[in-house]
Amino acid sequence: MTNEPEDIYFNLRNGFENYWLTTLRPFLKTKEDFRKKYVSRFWLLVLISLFILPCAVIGVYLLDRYFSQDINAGFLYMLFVVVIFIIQTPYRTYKKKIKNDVMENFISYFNDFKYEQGKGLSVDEIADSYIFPRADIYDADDCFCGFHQGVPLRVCEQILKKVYHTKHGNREKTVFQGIAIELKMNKNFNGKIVVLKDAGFFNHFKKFKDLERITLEDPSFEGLFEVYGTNQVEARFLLTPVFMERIVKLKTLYKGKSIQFSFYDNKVLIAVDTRQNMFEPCSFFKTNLNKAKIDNVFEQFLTIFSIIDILRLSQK
Amino acid sequence: MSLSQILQIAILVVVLLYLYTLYVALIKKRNKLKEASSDVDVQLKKRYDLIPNILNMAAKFMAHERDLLTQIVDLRNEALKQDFTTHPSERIEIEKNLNSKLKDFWVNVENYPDLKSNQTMVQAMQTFNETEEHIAAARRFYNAAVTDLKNAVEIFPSSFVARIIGIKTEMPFFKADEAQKERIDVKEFFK
Repeated sequence: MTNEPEDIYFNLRNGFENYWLTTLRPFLKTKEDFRKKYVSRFWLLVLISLFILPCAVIGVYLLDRYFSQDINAGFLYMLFVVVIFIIQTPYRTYKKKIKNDVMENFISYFNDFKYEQGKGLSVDEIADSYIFPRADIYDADDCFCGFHQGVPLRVCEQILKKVYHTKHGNREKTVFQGIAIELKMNKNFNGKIVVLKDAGFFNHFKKFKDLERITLEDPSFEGLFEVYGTNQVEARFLLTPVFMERIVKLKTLYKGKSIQFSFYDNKVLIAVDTRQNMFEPCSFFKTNLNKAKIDNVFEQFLTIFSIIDILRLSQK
Repeated sequence: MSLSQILQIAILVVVLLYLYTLYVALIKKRNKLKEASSDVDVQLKKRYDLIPNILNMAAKFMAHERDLLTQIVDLRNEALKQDFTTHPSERIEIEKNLNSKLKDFWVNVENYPDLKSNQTMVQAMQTFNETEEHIAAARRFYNAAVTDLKNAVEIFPSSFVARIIGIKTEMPFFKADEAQKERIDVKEFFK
C-alpha cells in the first residue's frame, strides 16, 4: 500500500463499501422502525392541523360576523406559525436523536476521529481569523476532529447570521453557511497571514489595523486572492510559489464557492462558504437503507481530506 | 478675486496635492526597499550563525574536505564584513559563491553516512533548511520591493518627482538563477 492520495482514496472507498455492508447498514436497519414511528407522528400532526386550521378560520369569521369580536389577522398568523412549529417537532426530534448515533457510527470508519454535534468555533476564533463576515448570531451544527495522514484537523459546520433592525421588526440574514477547516501547518511561524478572495474595486476599502497588504508575484493567485499579513517575509515563507499554485488548485476544487484562509498559531483555518447544509446522512421520509445519502457525506469527507493532500500539509 | 483666479489656485492646489501623493508613494517604496534589504540581511545572518556549528560537526567526519570547509568559512567571514543594505551587489556575488560551496558541501556529506545519520546533524540540517526557506522568502520580498521602486522611478509622472528629490534605483535584483536555482535544498541530500 502506497501513500499516494489516489491510492488512499481508492482504499478508503473500497473499505467503505465493506463497512457499509457490515456495520452501517445493519445499524440503520435497526433504526428504520424508529424513523417510521416519527414519520407516522408527523402525518398525524398534519391531519390534526388540517382540521384545526380551517376550524380556526371559520371560528374567527363567526366571532367577527355574529358576536362582533374584533380578532385581527395577526391571531391567525400566529396560530399558523405555532401549528407549523408543532408539525415539524417529530422531524426535529428524529434528526436530533438519530444524527448523533449515525454520525458516531459513520465516523468510526475513519480512525482517530471524533464527532460532536453543535460544537463549533468560538466567537473569538471566528473574529480573530478575519475570514468570516461580521455577524450577530453564531450557530454551529456538526463538528469533527481527528487526523488525516498524520495531520490534525478540525471541521466545523458554521452558520453566521446578521440581524437587521427594520420598522417591521428584526430580520435575520445568513451571511455565511459552510465549513471551517482547521489544519496544523507543516511550518512554524509567528505572525498572521490572511488570504481573502479578490473583491476587485472593493479591495481598496479593506483595512486591518494589524495587517498590511502583501502583493505576491503569482498573477493567477493574485487574480483570485488578496493577501494581508503581519510580516512580508513570513507571508512569502508560507506562501511559496508552489504553495500558491496548490491554493489555486484548491480553489478550482471548490469552484464557485468562496474559500478564504487564515494562517496563525502554526495552523491554517479555511472557511468555505458552501451555502448548503452539509453532513446530513439521514432521510426522514425515505428509507436510510439506500446508500446515496451516506455516500454523499463520505464524499464530503474525502473532499476535506483532499485539502491536506493538495496543500501537502503532511510533508515536512 | 476673479473666478479665473480661483480656478487657477484650485488647479495649482490639485497639482501640488497630486505631486505630494507621488512623493509620499516614492518615499514609502524606498523605505519598503530598505526594510526588505534589512530583512535579507537578518535572514542571511541566521544562516551565518548556523554555518560554524554545522562545519564544526562536519569537520570531525570530513577530514578530507578541509579545503572546502575553509573556503566556506572564508566566504562567510567575507560576507559578514559587508552590509547588504550598503553593498548589495558585492553581497549578492559573495552569496552566489557561498551557495555554490554549500551545495558542494551537502553533496559531499552524502559520502559520510555516519555524519548523515548523526542526530545533531539531522537537526542542524532541518534548521538550516528552514533558514534557507526564510532567505528565499526575504529575497522574494526584496525583489518585489526593487521592482516597485524601479517602476515608480522609471515611469512618468512619478519619475519626474523621483528626479527632483533624487531617488535612484541602484539596488540590484536577486536574479532567478541565484534566488531559485542556487537555493540549497538540504532535504534532497538527505533522502
